[in-house]
Amino acid sequence: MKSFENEIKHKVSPFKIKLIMILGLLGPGIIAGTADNDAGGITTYSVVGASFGYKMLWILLLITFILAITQEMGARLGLVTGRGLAALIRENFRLKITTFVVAITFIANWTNILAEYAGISSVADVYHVPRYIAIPLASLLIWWIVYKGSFKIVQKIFLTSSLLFFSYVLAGFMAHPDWSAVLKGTFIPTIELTPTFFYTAVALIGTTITAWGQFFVQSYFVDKGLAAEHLKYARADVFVGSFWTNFVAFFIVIATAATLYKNGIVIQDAGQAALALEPLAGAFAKHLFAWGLLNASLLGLAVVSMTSSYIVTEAFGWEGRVDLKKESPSFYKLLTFSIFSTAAVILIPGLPLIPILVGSQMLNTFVLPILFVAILILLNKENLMGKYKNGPWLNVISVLSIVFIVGMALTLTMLTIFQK
Amino acid sequence: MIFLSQLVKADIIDSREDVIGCLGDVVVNAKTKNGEYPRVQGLIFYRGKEVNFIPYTCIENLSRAEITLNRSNCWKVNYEFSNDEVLLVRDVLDQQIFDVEGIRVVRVNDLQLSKIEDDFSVVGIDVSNKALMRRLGLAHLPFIRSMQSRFIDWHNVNLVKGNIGSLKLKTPYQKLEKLHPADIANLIENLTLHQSTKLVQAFDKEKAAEVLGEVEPEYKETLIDHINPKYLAGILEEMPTDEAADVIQDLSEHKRIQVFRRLGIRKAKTLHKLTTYEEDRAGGLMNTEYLHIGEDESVREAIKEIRKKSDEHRSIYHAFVVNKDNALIGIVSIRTLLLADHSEKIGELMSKVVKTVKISTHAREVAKIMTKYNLLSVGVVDRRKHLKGIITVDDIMRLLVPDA
Repeated sequence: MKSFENEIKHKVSPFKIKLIMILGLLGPGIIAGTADNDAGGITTYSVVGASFGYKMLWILLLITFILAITQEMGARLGLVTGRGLAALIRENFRLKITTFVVAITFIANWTNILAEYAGISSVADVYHVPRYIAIPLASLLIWWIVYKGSFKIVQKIFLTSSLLFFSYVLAGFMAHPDWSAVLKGTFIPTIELTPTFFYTAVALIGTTITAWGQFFVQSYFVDKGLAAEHLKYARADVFVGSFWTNFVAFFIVIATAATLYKNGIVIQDAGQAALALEPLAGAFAKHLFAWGLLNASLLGLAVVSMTSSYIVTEAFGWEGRVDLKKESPSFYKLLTFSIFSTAAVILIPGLPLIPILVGSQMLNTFVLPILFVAILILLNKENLMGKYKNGPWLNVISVLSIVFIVGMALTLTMLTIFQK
Repeated sequence: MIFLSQLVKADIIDSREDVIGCLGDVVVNAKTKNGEYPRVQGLIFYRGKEVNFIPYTCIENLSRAEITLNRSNCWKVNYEFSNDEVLLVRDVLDQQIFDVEGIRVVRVNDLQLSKIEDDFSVVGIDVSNKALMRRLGLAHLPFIRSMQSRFIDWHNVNLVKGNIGSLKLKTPYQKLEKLHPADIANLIENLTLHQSTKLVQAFDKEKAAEVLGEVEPEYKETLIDHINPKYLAGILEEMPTDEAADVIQDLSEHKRIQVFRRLGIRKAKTLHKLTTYEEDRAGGLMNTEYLHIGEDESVREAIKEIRKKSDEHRSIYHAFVVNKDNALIGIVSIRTLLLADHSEKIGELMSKVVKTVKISTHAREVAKIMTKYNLLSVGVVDRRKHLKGIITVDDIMRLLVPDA
């Protein structure tokens, strides 16, 4: 008996078990964080740096915390209930509310996908590839990967390609920023009471904290089948993920602030940023920027369109009879619609891409408070969360975050109205 | 016939023509006799935090426009529900259910109530998009009117959530019990891991073992890692050894240790030994539980033995005849046993030409041999011709058609 037990036991050391658990669990939060830096994100960060220098870094720091809090709440909801966010909303709110939340999220996601294509077109512009070739090619590629490849393959591609984001960190250092100014911008808040400032700030919030990201991170934890007792690991995961997202964002802002802002060069998208970087930071910086953007756009295209389709099928019970390796027909219909209708719109000649891009991030910011109120209500349900429900402090912080987001969005609206 | 969604929010009017509130929920008794539909026990209306219950006997008329009572002041404040009482809005509407006939998981978009004799009962569940549209107030749109409704009879419905409110039901998945394990496995593959783990653990271990045996390998691997070790050990005891060994092989090392600790020492040893065989070799495919009889036994004794041990084996095609050293010397089909005289000796009946395979024989080779000689089961022997286990045709089928 003794020897037999030793025989099986000696194979695994406790350290190895721990390592396996950590590696196995580190994932959803980091992948969500990686996908969060999509085309809209990189464009917004570039514009933030180029137009306002280091002035908005404090907002980035603040939303890192808000992102960490919201992602943790998503992870906790997923772990404790074992259900996706859309299913929970359907089961706990009235159908009309569910339909409303799902509809605005779907629309925000749709414009997000537009933004991904806008990102692809700006990379195409950098390399003088016609938009009419790049866009259809990208849409077919992503559709095919998602249709054929299943979630697992997409996940592997994500993890590998997330390394590409280091290129931005590199670009940030290559731009030789003024580090004391960076520190000042990060820790001392400054506000300009101009519509452009708020317009950009709201887009910055909306691109970092996203409605789809909230659904995505929760489903991911559910699919991994983690239970409430893994909460510690899940928390570590989402905190690392949130930090990583904004770490990359931070360096994009620095890179463009140290070069474009310093030289007074105004840009409107990340492609232009890449081009403008060339004379200031070298051709290598240009390529890093462009390829990082392409990767981010393709990734975002896949993740957002998939998440969007999941949300709708889950909320309305259109999962149908799902084969293990295939999603339901409704899922593919929605996916096809999301990928190709946006591609068609983006190809309309003379369509202004920049307002679409920033506009989509703004729309996202307006959807966020509504979604977070729903999440907060769910997290405070005793029968759903038991001992894992929100504590009073977390509620206060969450409400403050919502107030901050709403406040920024409202100020923008007011400023825009009074200017006209 | 009336839909639950049409009743919810309807005004409740008492005998003095006062509106006392609007309908919040409908209570039915889920415990029914065979073939009956759950009867409406009463109605619920909420006033602030108060839960008020109106017994069915007080209701004069139940219609979509308004609900009239035959008395005033007949409701009970803060009513306590019994274990069998289900609240249709809280527990069923918008939740996921198993459609036991269609073998799928669907979401309840509406419920259908009908007057049967003097009682109102829930008869079915509407899972169509038309029901969604109706509840969103879009029913009058022309293209929606032409949509089809899709009903599932209440008798074929089982809630996915195993509990009602905060109550845990004793047999939460009763209606699933009558399904074939393969169909249950299909349902499981449509659930989230959380749900499927709960479902498997709600079955008795024998059923759970059968169901797990049918789940697709890829999903099974993830699923078993989430079942608690103690329960899993119990399931493994119920499984044929070859399947149990496969399960063990798929476990993470950490979990494997936990499971081994909870298994009987003999079972653990056998399984551990089996897991050392390669999965695509006869050793990895074989089942170590087989029917063996001695050559000196009579047919009567053999049949008695089979009767005694029949539930230990999933299928019996042949009895393997061994000598005192456990070396395989022959084989007797069940058919031969059935037709033979009861006093005949096994040694005289058995066919002595026995096809066997070695532990290291490749699975493809095993399949070839079984096909060539039309064998339903084949013995696996070691170098000294000692019988180690058997491979039956269903082990091979699973290998050849893994996706079924």
